[in-house]
Amino acid sequence: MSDRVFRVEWVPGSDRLAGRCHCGARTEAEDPVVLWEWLLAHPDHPSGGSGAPPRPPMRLVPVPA
Amino acid sequence: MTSIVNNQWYVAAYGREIGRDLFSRTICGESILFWRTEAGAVTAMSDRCVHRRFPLSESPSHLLGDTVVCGYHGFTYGADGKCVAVPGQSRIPRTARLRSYPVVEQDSFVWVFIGDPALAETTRIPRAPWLALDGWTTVSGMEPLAARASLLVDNLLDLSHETYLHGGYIGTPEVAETPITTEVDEDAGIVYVSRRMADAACPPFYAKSTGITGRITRWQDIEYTPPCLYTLHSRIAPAGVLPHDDGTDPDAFHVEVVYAITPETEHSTHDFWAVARDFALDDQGVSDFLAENNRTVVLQDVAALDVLERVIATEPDGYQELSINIDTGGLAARRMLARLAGAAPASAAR
Repeated sequence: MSDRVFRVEWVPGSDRLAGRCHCGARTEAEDPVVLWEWLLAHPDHPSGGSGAPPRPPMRLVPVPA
Repeated sequence: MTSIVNNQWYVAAYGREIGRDLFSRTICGESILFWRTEAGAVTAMSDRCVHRRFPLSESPSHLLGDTVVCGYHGFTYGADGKCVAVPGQSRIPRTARLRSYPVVEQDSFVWVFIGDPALAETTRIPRAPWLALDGWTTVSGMEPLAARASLLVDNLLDLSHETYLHGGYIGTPEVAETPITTEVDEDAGIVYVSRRMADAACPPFYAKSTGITGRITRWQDIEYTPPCLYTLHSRIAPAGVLPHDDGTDPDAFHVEVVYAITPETEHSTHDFWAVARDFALDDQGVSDFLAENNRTVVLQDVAALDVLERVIATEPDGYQELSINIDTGGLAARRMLARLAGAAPASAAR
């Protein structure tokens, strides 16, 4: 296998999924769609795990003259 | 937008299907004519005469040496698709050429490249070596599926359905109960789904073919190379029997279940299936049993997916689905297919 491998394991004894990005970032989720979104956001994995709310959209801030 | 992934190799036929008779099959919406030259090479070209579109596979079209003669007006084409004779005149129009397709015969399959032929050379053809390898015996077939290819991909990436759809054949309760591990190799473009059952009932498919009577250790390791080739590396052994430390595995039975998933149209698929085994190599009874049973299993999938196609074809795009843990591999495959189609979503396809 190459170095760019995403891995998702079913956490033993639970209904949760544990995901690991090829960059080493890890998270857990109960929903595979949410988990894939988190993994595929590489390199910008949302902080706080896959259950974290999405970051607010960026906006332009005027620079004082 | 088309759901068919272009610029890829697809299995068009088994090598045994192509001979000195004209053979036609629609691959990814393109009607393609196949035949072998006198030297035995497979050719692939459009199955429509450039003159009045008569199918060259239809009688009284016929082969004459290494040319195919249209049965309507006699336009004659060489193995490269170029017209070499037209009726009643010596000048052959410069544009009188059939579209020809890159074709490769490998691992008992005839692969054809759909898309820009210039890309064929550098595009991977995935391998299924067991189908034509010493030490293995293979049974195989192809069933027409009246459903889009993606439904078969979903089906094969989530084998928990074996418990319900294929009970009494290959399904046992442990399949649906056992957690899976999914890996996606981004560079190789391969999705792996692994399910390792340490102590499971032996389904009739394996009990009768291997002779194992008790419980088994059953491994299912899926390797899907989108868009076309799917392999299930299946390991069956008496419960508790594992491979040796040196990697050899003489006490287990190994079966390579191979599928080639080739779109016929947007809403129909050629479901090629093959079962290769490394035991009972010369036992015709085992071959007959595995062929009959695997075809039955495939037809159970076909019946279910045909119904599913009819249902979702009537629903608006973006119909609601619910995915759970068993769908982790299928979601990864969908995303990879979307990426190959040039429409990769920023996230896993839902």
